[in-house]
Formats: sequence, structure tokens, C-alpha cells
Amino acid sequence: MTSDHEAVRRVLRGDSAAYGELVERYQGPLAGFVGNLLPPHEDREGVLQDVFLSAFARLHTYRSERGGFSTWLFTIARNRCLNVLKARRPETRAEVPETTHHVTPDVDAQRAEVFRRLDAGLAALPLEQRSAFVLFELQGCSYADVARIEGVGLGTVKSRIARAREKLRAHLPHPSETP
Amino acid sequence: MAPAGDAPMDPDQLYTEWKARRAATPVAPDFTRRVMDALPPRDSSHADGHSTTGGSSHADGLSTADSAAPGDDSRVPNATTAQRAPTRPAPARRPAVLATPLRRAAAILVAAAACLVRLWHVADVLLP
Repeated sequence: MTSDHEAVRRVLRGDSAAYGELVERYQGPLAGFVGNLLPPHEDREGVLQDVFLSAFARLHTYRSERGGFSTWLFTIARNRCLNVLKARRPETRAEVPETTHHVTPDVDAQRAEVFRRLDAGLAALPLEQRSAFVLFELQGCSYADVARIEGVGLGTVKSRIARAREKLRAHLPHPSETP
Repeated sequence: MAPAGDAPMDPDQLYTEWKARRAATPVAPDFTRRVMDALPPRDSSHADGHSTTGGSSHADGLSTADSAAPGDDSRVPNATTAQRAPTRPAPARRPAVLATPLRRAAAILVAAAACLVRLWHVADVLLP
């Protein structure tokens, strides 16, 4: 598999097809990030597409010494999501989070309820905590990468993630509640 | 295997399961194709990795003198349609034709100054 570095080089040399490899490689993680930051009524896939188009147009500004290509992409995605959220009307901010956990044979009603509570807890987190939590816990970024993406110090990142975890865990059932 | 309704609800397990579900976000199968179709033609003037804007070029050939912070796309307008043709062309760059004479002139000035300094030193030694 071509490395990010090599693929970027090829694109900069005019081989636009090499960009397809990068899109293929990072669409999943970025979709997860954008999907957890933006509310369901937003055109998430459109935003994701914008992220890749914007990255392509500004690929010559990517500096590998500042971090990996994925970190750069996540930074663009984060900025794009912030722009979208800023453009929203304030009264639509506190909305019902997306419910993706329907009652199915493999997810019983009780579990679905816990998942719904966790979804609501995630949606209720302040944006900076949600973003740091999603990057670290869901997308597997390192603390250092999250710090680069968020543009804050390592300590701040750790604190945001810890607070987010604490708030989310409060939505989990106490062991004594379990059947 | 116990029925789903009787399964014990281990909080840690639930939390892990929830995280896995949130992390997995499906993308349309033709997403890559749609992005590739919407790509603008690439300006290959940076093919050698060297900037024409007068800044330093990174050794790996991936950077230029563009001063934009990585990922700071605040200047890029938000597109709203599903099929997003880029609304802004690639950043305009100064043609090399304008930059080269300036660089040459600067180099000549620096060389001339160096010569004057050296001559002054020589004169200082030779002349009483």
C-alpha cells in the first residue's frame, strides 16, 4: 500500500488519481468524526466531500513536519464542522440526538435505551469535549494528534477527554441495576 | 447462549459496544468516485515541491510558503449541494517570471555589498 507521503507526492506531481487512494483510506474515519460532530439533519456526506475537495485544493500547504496527513485532514474536518455549527441558528442547537440504535433481535430494548442515553450524553457535551472525545476514543487518535487537531495543549486535551468520559459514564447503568 | 433480553448488562461492555457503534459510520459506496469526479484540474506548478512565493520549501518537497494554517479552511465558502463542485479555484500563485528577476536583483545586491566589504578590508590593510 502506498504511504500517505508517497500518495501526496504523486498528487502534487499531477497524478490526481493517487488522491483516490487517500480518499478511500480516510473516508471512514472522517465520516465517523463528522457524523459524531454534526447533527443528523446536516448534510454530513456533503461536508465530508467538502473536506476532501478542500484538502485537494490546498494539498501544497500540507506540511508533514507538523503531523501526519490524517491529522491534517481531521483538522480540516474539524474546522469545517465548526463553520457549519456556527452557521446554524442558536435555537436549533439543543436538539434530539440521532437515534441509530433501534430495537433489533441483537440489541434488546434495555441496551437500546442505554445507547440512547449515551447518544444524548454525547450530543450534550460541549463541542470541544465532544470533538476531543470522538477523536481519541472513537477514531483512535493519540493525545498528541488530538492536541494538534484542536490546537490546544496536551494537558487540556487530557482534561477534556477525562471530563467527557466522566459525563458519559454517568449515563451507564449502575452494576446493581443490571438484571 | 442466553436470550438477548436476559443478557447481563455489564456497563463497561455496554460502553465499549456503544463506542464501536458510534465509530462505525457507513459511507456511500460511490463516495470516492463522486469526490474524484468533483476534483478540479490540478495545477502542476508545484510538481517539484518548490514554492514560487519566495518562502522556504520543506526538504520533503511537500510544503510551500503558503502561510495558511493547516486545515484552516475558513476562507473556503461552504458548499450546500450534494454534488459539490469546488467553488474556489486553487490559490493563485505568483508567476515565476515575476519572482525570478527580483531574486536575481537581490542576489546581485548582496554580492555587490560583499565585494565592497572585502575591498574595504583590503584597503584598510594595504593603505597606511
